[in-house]
Amino acid sequence: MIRALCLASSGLGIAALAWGYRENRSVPAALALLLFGVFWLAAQWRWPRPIPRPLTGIGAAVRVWFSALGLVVSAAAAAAGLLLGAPSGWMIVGALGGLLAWDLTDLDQRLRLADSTDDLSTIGRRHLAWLGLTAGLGLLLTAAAMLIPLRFSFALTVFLAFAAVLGMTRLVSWLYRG
Amino acid sequence: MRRAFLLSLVVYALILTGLIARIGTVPYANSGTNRGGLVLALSLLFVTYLVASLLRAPGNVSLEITRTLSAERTGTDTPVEVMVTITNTGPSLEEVLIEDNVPPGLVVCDGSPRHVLRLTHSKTVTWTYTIRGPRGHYAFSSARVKAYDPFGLISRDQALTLSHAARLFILPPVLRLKYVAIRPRRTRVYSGLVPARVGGTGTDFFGVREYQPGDPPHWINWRAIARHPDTLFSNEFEQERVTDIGIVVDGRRRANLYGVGPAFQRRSPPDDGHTYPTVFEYSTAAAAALADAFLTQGNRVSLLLYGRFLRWTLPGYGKVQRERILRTLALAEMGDSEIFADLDHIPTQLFPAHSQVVLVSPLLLGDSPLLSERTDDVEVLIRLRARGYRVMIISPDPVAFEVALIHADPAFGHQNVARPDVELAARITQIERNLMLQRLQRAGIQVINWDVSEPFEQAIHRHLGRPLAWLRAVRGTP
Repeated sequence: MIRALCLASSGLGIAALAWGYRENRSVPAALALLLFGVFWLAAQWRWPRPIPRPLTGIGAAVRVWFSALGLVVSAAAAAAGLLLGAPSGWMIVGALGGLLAWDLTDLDQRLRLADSTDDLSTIGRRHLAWLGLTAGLGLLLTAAAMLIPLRFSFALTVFLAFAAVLGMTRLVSWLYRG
Repeated sequence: MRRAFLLSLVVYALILTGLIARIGTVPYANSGTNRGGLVLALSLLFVTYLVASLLRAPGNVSLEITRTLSAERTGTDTPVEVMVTITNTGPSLEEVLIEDNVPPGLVVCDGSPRHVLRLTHSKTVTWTYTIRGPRGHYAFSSARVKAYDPFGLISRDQALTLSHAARLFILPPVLRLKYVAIRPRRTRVYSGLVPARVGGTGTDFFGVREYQPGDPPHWINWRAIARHPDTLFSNEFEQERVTDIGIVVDGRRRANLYGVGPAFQRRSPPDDGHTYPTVFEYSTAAAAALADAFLTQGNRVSLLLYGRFLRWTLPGYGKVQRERILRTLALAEMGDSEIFADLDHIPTQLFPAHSQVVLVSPLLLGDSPLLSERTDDVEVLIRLRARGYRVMIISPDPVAFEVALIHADPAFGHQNVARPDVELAARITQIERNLMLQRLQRAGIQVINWDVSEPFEQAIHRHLGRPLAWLRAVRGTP
């Protein structure tokens, strides 16, 4: 199920981005995104096995690196689309799809280390619940930030941006210490 | 943690892009084209993910792990069940990877030592897995624990050391030898099965002496009395006693470098997951079988591993000594040493004078092309014999061993060496080896050249088995 969700989120994310670009009449960019999406899905595809085995070697590297590349491309394409005037809804969905696919790929990799007797369904279910909650909250915040018209002066904008960067730095340092 | 770094880079990039775009679009802010703000808003999606991960980061990992092995000593490739029990004494762990560190060399043949679990507070989880492996000593030290947050961004990785470190001895296979005939020059006082070269009570005829009061009537030699009617004569039998036996296992790497070269390492492992045996493994198996046979006969046996260093098992009798020797053989491994490069440094003072010394070694050819300098085991062994020791050499035939490996390997013909060349080289080496063994035999050393394709008990029975009574009578006392 996790693999299916992973494939679905990456496919839907790229499709949303491509659709947004098409609506913005940037067809070459949409085609390029679709091409990348095909490669991404191909890198993620594994024939179903009754007992998933840990991926090692080139197979694992391709999968992990393509998933990281997918996250970066999705975020970059969404940001570029927003700057170019593409529909923000499709762009947000595209970025969210990339984030979910990246997360689920890593979860799938971690769960492949488990034994067939482990209760993976509980772990997977709780992960999906927490991920859904987080994604919903993130979407809500993003949509609210986009829809609520707030007017800041230039100085306040710069101050808020630097405060965000400092806060992020603090957050990341906590993550590293953890 | 690389994932957290990547995600933070994405967030930084989005904030920076949004800020630059915001600066660029400030003049048009009043016209409603706040695109930089949209990008800044987009970054909130990723920031939420990061914050959520931080909120559910795993706390202190506090686990109690116990490990129980179904056996502390076992035979080669015999399955042993390992049971691992884990209790979470700390806060709940959303996702934790626990991997029992299986010592290198052991193979997990059933179950898995690695599990991914969700461990709530005070929850206990138990699992079992089965291992097997080649001869050796294996210490189970620690278990690896890696706790994750739900998104896998933050992890706590630590090695938990168990309070009771389990260990497993995998002993060499012990072949049962019916009888091993040896004739040392000196025996101990206790009765046993080794001919003592002393007249007295026994089974084998030793000589004729004058009748002494108390001799059983059936000892009286009537034929001798018929020749000399004035005196009564009695038969005398050879006493059988126990003796001191020192077994020396040659663990020098260069003496055992057969079937382990680059040409053989290219072979794929056997289908059943086992490893290919080496000449040294045959040596340890032979030493185990001999020690078992000698101890069963009641002798006092000691063991010396001669390789990278000396490992000496003090002489002893019985089952306890058998266990000591088998455990020492389980620890035996090949090694190189400058000091023990040749057999010159066998500490002969460890063996009682005139006792039986059994050397288990493939032996080094003096002019072997494998050696950088000329080393000759023969001279050393002849000197040992000259000191009065009864020396027996059990020599697994390395040439036959390697030739058999080449014949069994269908891919060997592709390795730039023509098969006729190999055959010729094998013949020359075998001739050299036979000459070396003949030199040893001429010096009074008992040599058993063991082709390892033949079962050891058969080779021993042929060379050292007790001859039949009628054969003893024909040949005389062995």
